[in-house]
Amino acid sequence: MKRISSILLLLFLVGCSKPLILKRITFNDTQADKTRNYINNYYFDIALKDSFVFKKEISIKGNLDINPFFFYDSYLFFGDLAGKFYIVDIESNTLIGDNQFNGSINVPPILSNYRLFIPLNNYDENYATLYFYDILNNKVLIETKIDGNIDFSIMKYKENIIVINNRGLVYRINLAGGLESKHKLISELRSEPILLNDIIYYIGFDRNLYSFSLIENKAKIELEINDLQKIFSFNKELILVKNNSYAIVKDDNISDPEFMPVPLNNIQSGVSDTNRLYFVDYSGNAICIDKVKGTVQWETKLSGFTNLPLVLTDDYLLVTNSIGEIYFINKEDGKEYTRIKVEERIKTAPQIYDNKIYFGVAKGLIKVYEKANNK
Amino acid sequence: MKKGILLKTTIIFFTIVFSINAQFYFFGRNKIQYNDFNWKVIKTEHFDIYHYEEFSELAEIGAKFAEDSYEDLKIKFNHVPVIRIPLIFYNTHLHFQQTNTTPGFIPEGVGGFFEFMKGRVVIPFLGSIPGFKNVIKHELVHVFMTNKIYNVLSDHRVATNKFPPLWFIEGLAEYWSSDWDTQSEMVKRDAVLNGYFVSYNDLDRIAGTYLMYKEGEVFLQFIAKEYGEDKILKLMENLWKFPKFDQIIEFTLDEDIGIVAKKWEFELKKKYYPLYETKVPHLIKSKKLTQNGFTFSPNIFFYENETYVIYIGNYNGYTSLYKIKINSDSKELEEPELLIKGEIDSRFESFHAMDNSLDVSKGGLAAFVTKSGKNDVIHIYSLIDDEIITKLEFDKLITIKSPSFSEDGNKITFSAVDEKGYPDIYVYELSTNRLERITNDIYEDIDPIFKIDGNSLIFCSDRTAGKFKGKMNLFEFDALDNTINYLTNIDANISTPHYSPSGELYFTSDYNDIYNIWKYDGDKLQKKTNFVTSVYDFGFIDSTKIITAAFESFTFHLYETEINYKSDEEINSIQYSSTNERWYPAKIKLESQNERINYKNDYSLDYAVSQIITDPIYGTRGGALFTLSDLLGNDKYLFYLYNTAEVQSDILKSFNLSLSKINLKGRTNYAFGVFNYSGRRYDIRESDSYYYEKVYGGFFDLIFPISVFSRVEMSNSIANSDKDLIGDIITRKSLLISNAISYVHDNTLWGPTGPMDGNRYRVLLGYTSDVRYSNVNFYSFIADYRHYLRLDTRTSLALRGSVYINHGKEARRYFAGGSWDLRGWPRFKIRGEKLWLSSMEYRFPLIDQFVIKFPFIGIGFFNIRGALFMDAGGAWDNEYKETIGSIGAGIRLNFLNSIVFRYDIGKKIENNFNSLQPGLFYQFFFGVDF
Repeated sequence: MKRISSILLLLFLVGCSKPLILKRITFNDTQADKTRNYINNYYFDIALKDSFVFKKEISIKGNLDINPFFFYDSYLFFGDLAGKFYIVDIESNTLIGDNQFNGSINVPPILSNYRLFIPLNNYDENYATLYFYDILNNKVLIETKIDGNIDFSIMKYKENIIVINNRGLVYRINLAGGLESKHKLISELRSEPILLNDIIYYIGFDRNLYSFSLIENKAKIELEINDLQKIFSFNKELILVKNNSYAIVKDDNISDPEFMPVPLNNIQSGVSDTNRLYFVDYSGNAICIDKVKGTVQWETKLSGFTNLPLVLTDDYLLVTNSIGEIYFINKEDGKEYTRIKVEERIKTAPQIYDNKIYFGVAKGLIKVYEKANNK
Repeated sequence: MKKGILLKTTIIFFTIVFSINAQFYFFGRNKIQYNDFNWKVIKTEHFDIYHYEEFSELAEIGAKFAEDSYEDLKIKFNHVPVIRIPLIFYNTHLHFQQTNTTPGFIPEGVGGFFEFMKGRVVIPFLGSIPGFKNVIKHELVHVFMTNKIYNVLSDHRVATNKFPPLWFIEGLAEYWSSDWDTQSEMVKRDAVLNGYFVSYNDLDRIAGTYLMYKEGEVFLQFIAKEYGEDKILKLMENLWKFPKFDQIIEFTLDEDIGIVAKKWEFELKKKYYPLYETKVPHLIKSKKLTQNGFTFSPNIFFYENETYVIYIGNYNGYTSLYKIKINSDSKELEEPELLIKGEIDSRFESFHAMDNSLDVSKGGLAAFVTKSGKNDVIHIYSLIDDEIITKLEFDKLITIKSPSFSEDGNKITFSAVDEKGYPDIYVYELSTNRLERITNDIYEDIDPIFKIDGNSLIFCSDRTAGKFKGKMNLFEFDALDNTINYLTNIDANISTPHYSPSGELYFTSDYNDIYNIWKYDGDKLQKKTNFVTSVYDFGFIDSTKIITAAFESFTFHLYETEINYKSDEEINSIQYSSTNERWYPAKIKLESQNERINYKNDYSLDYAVSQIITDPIYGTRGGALFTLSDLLGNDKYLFYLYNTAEVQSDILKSFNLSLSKINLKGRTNYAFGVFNYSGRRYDIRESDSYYYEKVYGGFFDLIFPISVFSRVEMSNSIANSDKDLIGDIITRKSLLISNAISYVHDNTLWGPTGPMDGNRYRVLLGYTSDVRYSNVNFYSFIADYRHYLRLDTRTSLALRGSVYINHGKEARRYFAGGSWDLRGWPRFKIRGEKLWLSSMEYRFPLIDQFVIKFPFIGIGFFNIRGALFMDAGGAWDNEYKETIGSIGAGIRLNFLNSIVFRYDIGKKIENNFNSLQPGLFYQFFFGVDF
């Protein structure tokens, strides 16, 4: 009896931890890079053309930050704010591996050559740690300490990992974990950095536009206007956003932007496709603007507080609010096509992958919705 | 405009030391619900606005302020609460003090509060619309911050009870709700220049004070300026990361906290020290007339070739009316003379010391305002005959400020707030008892005086429109054509206008600075004093000599000074002409009156506690208590369940449970309920023996407060009581009906560890009878009197005399012994149906501050007090046995304002009070002094 109990206990304990092993994964670095978005523009070049139904709920420990997910192959990789890292098989939407770290994971990992790069903000420490994780053998290969917090997306640039911490330091780390260089930016970041043509653009604490050239390792102030709110990018364009205006610039005319008015009070988020810009304010007022003419195509008023990024597909603008709603707005006419409603506060921007929509909600849950006709 | 807010809040600091004892069992003052409010609810997009009918207009304005604040704060916090926020409005502070949303008394300085349990925000309208807006936003910052922090912590799965220190919580609420204001500026510069600005490391020492609010605000302003505004939000978002807030600041700012603190101090000194180049402190330029306490509202009275200042002062915790003789030729200070002692009876329940509430006529009449019953009243007091002549009370006027006599003393003008919340000007004619309303609108009209050459009035008002919208300027009401005209229109606030003996108009203004005295000279205004901190009020001795009430070194005192400051500061009286413009605050748009619904009780849980105890001797026992109340706190339900079984077989017969309903809505409070108590009881009649008793029945209690200081209590119960005295061999059955009536009085003033001044007593008469079996039949009498004789500000002599009598068949016994009554003796030492107790205690300050500095942390203890005591008492059934007592000394420590620890050493007095015990007794206990 004792022996059986011991075995059962052992099985139970083993069952509590799931190693981060992905022996079946076929890895291609080029493909992994393509799935990353370093331009802060949540545009998914796919047509949804359908409504969505609830598929599954994945329970995790903490809640999620705004943009935590990284998809590759048939897997979803992410960490939560309670410091737990997860790998989910998105075909079955089941958890296949997890690991608890002591801290908080705010941004998505990077996957390169069978290695996961997991950024952790350590609890009760003045530093963060970048873990180099071997997913074939479930072990941490290297831990690189980063001063402060990693609150902004880490980036893969050539054969380096670029980490910008909350104190305005740029770390360039090679894939073996070695520190290639460390540079101080002119200002700390108040926006997500954007990687465009080997240059990182960001808004500083003084709301000016700054840049850092990864080729020259040189920091620069691009624009002294003190009232920038957001930046995002599409193709070669950089879109600068103030409270109620925007400008589209390219790297050759950044110094002289022409700001166009937007009939919104406090633009909270923006997104772009080839022909149009879409903005939303904190009160859920969404607007579509013709990029060339600068004219308003449509406006719509949605309910609830909106502080999550706008998400765009080939047919819908997805607007998420605090009261648990994701509106699917027809991007041609601004009319609501459908909406997803959940009971909890939505914590992440919805992410679309493999015809499914993933988003995190309060109480440590990830909701998965899929196209209705998939059933 | 906001003077009152500052000054009132300052009083909080003062009353921390001498706080009034809140209601508690046996004694305590009364919180009276004078008004039967007809509550309505407006449902806006994010708020449920609770208001009563008369206050509808200002409630709609407040609702708009709340929605506007919500829009601003959601961006500042990048977050919104997902629940609807209940906002409860009262039209005045007096009505606010009646609220049942919090059980305790609300001091004059509290301008609103956010209550965590039900997420309620409770706010009074204090007369000023901009002030109303600020308070609403201040409290909403608390709501957003609480919600934001809770989300940050729960997102990271760390304990959600971890909050920033109070200075951050209140500092942020100030910083994100208020614009620059004169009072705040004055306190900051006074604190820096007079050396009481508390460094960062000591902020906890001033927790809860006005200074802490302001220092918190200034610290966050500094962080925003030095490190970036976004860092404020980051401090909250990083709260999960470190256990200590200092670490969070260091991490967020990437700077050692010691350096941050030094930079902050340096910035402040750099800003304020140069002020001494051009401005003077009151103490340097004036003769200080009062030394201790706080003094306000100086009024000059000439009588029999002497000059007196009549003023309101607080020297000992009670705000009262005083006079002091002026002797300009002497450096010696005169002793103040008490004229009317306030705040010990219902006539002068509370003075509004800092609201400009006193005026003296040339004929020797003083008009002063106090709260008396449900509203403020004006008392007319003869300074010559030393008697109250009359009391002016007006049913529809709730709060009253700034009374001012006409030249002939037959009329009084004043400002008052009515039920709608309108702060307007009135004139009352003493000879005809006629009240005339002069203004009738939402603007804050204050400090009226009669114009020196007729019946017209001059007053201050925030009705200023146009360029200087909302500024408190001087206006004239022309009684001939009933028009109101600008006397000044400047970008500043003006208050307390007075005529000099030669007929020139003076006032105080914060133009380009804090409040100084200015002269109105038709088209021009001239600055006449240049003090570094504010003048709050003043009165003329002659054309150049004045008495001021001024703020300096964080206190208010009277100074004698001259208005001879010559400066280039002369400005135009009218800097913007806007005769036809009006401003009106926006209201929330209601589609129809159907959006305003009647309030219905909506109950929710207040708290629930449960407990399970496992004891090696008594086994496992446990129970639960939970309470429900409605949103306004008027109606409460209490459920109590406990099991005292010691063995499993006793479980079913050892359930104790009760259900009570308490209603606090009206002036008369009542409670009723049912109960069932059963289990083994200790028999204090025969020591070391127990009996089993099962009691079930119901009760009904009534409490009628006569005033804040006294009440009548009635209690009635019917209960079936079955006792098993020895196993099941001897049983006693009874059906008990018990009635009691008590009169309770309490006007005590409390120090840190117990009452210091005043008196309190209770007289009870009761009768208990077994109406079915006649097994029980006794009457009860209790007389308990306690007197506290103040010897000086901080020492007092406390006296207690109590008699407890139960007489009749199976009368219950009383007992005594222990730290509460007969110190040194064990509990239950004396027991009997009759009992008397007497105590005398000398209470004095022992150690004001005691700090232990460990290498890693410092611990401070404050207000450690000493006591010398003597107790005596005796108890008996039929025949008196003996008197016992004790003498000794002890120390008392108020720990974190939440519990008082006491340690006594002494000798018992034994053998019928004939000898002292051979050694000493040592006794530790906790609880306040008797």
